[in-house]
Amino acid sequence: MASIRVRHGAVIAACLAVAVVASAQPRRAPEMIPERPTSLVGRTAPEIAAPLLDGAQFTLASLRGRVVVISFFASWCTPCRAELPALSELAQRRRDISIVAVNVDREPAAARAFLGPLDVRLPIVLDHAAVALGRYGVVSMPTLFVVDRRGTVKYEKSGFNRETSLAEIERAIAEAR
Amino acid sequence: MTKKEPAKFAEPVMRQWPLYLLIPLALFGTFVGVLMTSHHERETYGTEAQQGAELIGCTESATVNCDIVNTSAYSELLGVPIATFAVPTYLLVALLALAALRGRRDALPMLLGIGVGAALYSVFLFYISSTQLHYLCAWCLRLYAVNAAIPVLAAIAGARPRPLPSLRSVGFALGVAAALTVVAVIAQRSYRSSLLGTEATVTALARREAASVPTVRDTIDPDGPAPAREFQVTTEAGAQATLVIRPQDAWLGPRDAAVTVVEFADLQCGYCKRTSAQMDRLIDAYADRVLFVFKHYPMDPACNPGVQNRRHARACVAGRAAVCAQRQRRFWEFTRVAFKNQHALDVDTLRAYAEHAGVPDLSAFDACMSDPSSAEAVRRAASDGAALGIRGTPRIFIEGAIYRSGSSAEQMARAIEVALGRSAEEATAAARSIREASDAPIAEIAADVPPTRHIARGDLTFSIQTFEAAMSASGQAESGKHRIPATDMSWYAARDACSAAGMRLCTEREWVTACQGAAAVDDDHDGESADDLVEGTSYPYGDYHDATRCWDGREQDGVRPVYTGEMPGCVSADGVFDLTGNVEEWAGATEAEAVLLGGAWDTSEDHARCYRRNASFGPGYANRRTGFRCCSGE
Repeated sequence: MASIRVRHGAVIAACLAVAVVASAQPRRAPEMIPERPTSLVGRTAPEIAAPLLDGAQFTLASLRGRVVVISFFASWCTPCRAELPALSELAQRRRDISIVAVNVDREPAAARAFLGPLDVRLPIVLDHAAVALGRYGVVSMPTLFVVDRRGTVKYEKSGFNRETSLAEIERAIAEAR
Repeated sequence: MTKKEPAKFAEPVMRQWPLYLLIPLALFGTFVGVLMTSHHERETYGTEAQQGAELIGCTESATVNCDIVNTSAYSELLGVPIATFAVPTYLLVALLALAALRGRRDALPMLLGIGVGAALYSVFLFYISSTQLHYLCAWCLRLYAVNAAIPVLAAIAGARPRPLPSLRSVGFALGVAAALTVVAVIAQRSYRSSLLGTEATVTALARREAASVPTVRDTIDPDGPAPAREFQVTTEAGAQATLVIRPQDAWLGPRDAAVTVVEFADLQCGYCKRTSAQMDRLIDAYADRVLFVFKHYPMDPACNPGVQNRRHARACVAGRAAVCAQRQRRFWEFTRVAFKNQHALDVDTLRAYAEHAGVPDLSAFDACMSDPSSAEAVRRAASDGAALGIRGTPRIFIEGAIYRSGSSAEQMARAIEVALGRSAEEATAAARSIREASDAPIAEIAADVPPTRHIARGDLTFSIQTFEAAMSASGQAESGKHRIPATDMSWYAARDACSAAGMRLCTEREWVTACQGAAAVDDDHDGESADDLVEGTSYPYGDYHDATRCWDGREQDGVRPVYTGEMPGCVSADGVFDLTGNVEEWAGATEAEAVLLGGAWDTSEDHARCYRRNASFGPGYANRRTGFRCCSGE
C-alpha cells in the first residue's frame, strides 16, 4: 500500500517536473532564412545601359576589353563628395582604364546641383529609375566596383575613406589588369 | 559807445574721434539686432527645415549657445524679440553721433543717457543668461561690449549730464526713436508672418479643411481653472517637498476628488509618450473619482530652470502649444495627438495638431503662441518640478509617492485604488482590469491562418497578404506561414509577381492603413500617407516599441531576414504580420509612387514604424533588404 502511494507520488512529481521544465523552456529563436552569397565578385558585371549627363547613351558593354571602375553615388551622400573628385584625379592619371560614376538620384536636377561645385571630370551615367543600382544589388552609398577586361567583377567596396580607399582601389585595378 | 561784446564762456572741448568710432559701432549693433531678430524668429516660428542651422559667429560649447539664449522666455518683450528693439536704438545712437559731429552738442547727453541705459540692461541680460539659462550668447556679448562703449565714448566726446538738452531736442529724438521702432516691429511682424504662413503651413491647412478631417470629438477638458492644492511629496532625493497645483495647470476629473495624480512630462520625451498610453488608461478608468493634473517639464533650459542641458530642442515650443490648446479647452486631445506624432514638433506641425485636436480658433492659437504668457505658463510649471528636484521625465506623483516611466498602468492603478480606500488585495484585483494590452502573451499563429486579410477602414476596402510575399517557382507572389520572404525585388519585379498572382501592389495608403490599424489620411494631399499625422498606432502592435515583437533593430553582422510568421507578436490590429521590420516592402501603384515601407531587420527601433518610408531610390532599386506584399480590391 505504502509502495503504491510512493509510486503514485513519484509519477506525479515527475509529471510536475516535466511541466515546470516545459513551461520554463525559452521560446526558440526565430529562424533566419538560409544564407546565400550576395557579392557580385567573381560574377559577370550586369549590363548598364543608360543616358549620360551630356545626353549621349552609355553601355558598359562598349567598354569590354578595358578595366572599368563603376561608382554609384547620390547627391545626399556625404562620402561621395570626397570620392568623386578623387576618382576624377585617378582617371586623369590612368588613361588605360575607364572610370564611370552612376548617379542614382530620383530627381534629374539633383546630380547637376551636386556636381556643380566639384571638380569631377568623369562620365556621369544617369540611373534615375535605379535599374542599374538594382542589378548590382547596392545597399549603401557610395559603392564601387572594379570590372576586369573580360567583364568580371573583381572588387566591390562600400563607403570611402580619404586615407585608404584610393590605394585599395588602385591595388584592385592592378589585380584586375 | 562801442557795442558790448557778449560774454564768452569757455565751451567744453568736444572731441570728434569718439563720435567717429561710435557710428560704425552703432551700425554694427544694428546689424547684430537684425541678425538676432531673424535667428529668433526662424528658431521659434520657422519650419523644421528653417531651424537648426547653427548661428554664424556663435559656435556652440558648454557655455555658449545662442539658440537657447535667443529663444528663451527672456528673448521677447511684449511679443517682440528684444533684438528687434536693438535696431532702432542703435540707429538712434548713430544719428545722435552724426548730429553731434554736425555741431549739435545737446546730442551728447542723450547719447550718454542711452548708453547708460543700454549698459545697465546688458548687465541684467548677462545676469539672466548666466543664472537662469546657464548659457551665454556670443552675439549678445558683442552687443554688451558695444553698449558699454556707448556711454564711455559719449563721455570722452564731452558729454555732460547737465545742462539737460532742450525739451524740443528730446522730443524730436523720441519721435525719431518711435518711428524707427514702428518700422522695425512692422518688418519683424512681416517676417514672422512669412514664416508662419509658409507654403507648407498654408497649403497643408487649407487642404486639410477640404480633406476628410477626423470628426472633432467633444472636448474632455473641464471648464475653469484647476483647483489649487498643495500636498507633501517625497522627492527623488528622499526629501520632503511641497507639490503645488496652480489654477493654470491642465487638469481633469472632479474638483473635490480625494485622490490626485500629477504628471510632470515633456512632449518630446519618448518615455513620456510611452507613459501617455498608460495615463490614458488611468484617465479612462478613474477620471470620475480622481483629479489628474499635467505639468510641463521640458528638458530644455530655455524654458525650464531645473535642467542644465538641452536634450529636447522642440520641447519648449511643444509645451507652449499645449498651453495654447488648453486655453481653448483642447489640452488632453492636443497632447494625445502630439505624443502620437512626436517625430515632428515644429511650429507649423504643432498648429496642424491643434487643428486636428479640435482647437476652435486657430487665430487665437497663433496669437497665444507668440504671447509671452504661454511661455511663462510652461516655465511656471517647470519651476514647480524643479522645486521638487525632478531629474527626468516622466514623473508621476500619486498621493505623495513617485512613479517613473517603468511603472505600468496596473502598478499605478493599484496605488490609486489603495488611495481610494481599498484593501491591498482588493486594489490588486481591481488594478488587474486595466493591465496593458502589451502585457498579454504573444499567441502562436494558427496553422490555418488565411493568406490574405480583408480590411475595411474609413473609405478604404481592400485585401492584403497576411505575410510578406514569397516567390513561387512560376514567379507568383504567395503568402503563407514559414515561407522565405522574397528579397532582391525591384518595384517592377514585385509588380509583376503580384500581377501573376492576380493581385497588385498595395498603395501607400492601403499599406499604412493596414499597419496602423486606422484609415490613413493624406493630410497634406501630396499623395503620400506615411508622412502625415499618425491616426492609428506607430507600430503594428501598439504605440511604442517592443523588441520581442518584430524582426527589427538587429544591426549586428550576420543577421538575415526570418521566415514569414516567425514573429507572432508582430501583428497588426487586422491580423497582418511583419509589416514593420524583416524586409522593406514595395508599395505604390505607379513608378512615380514606388516607395519602400516599414523598414528591414536592421532598421533601428525608432525608424521601423508604420510611417517609415524610403523613397530615396527609383523603382529599380533591389537588394537583400527589398521585398513586398500584394493587395487586391478597389
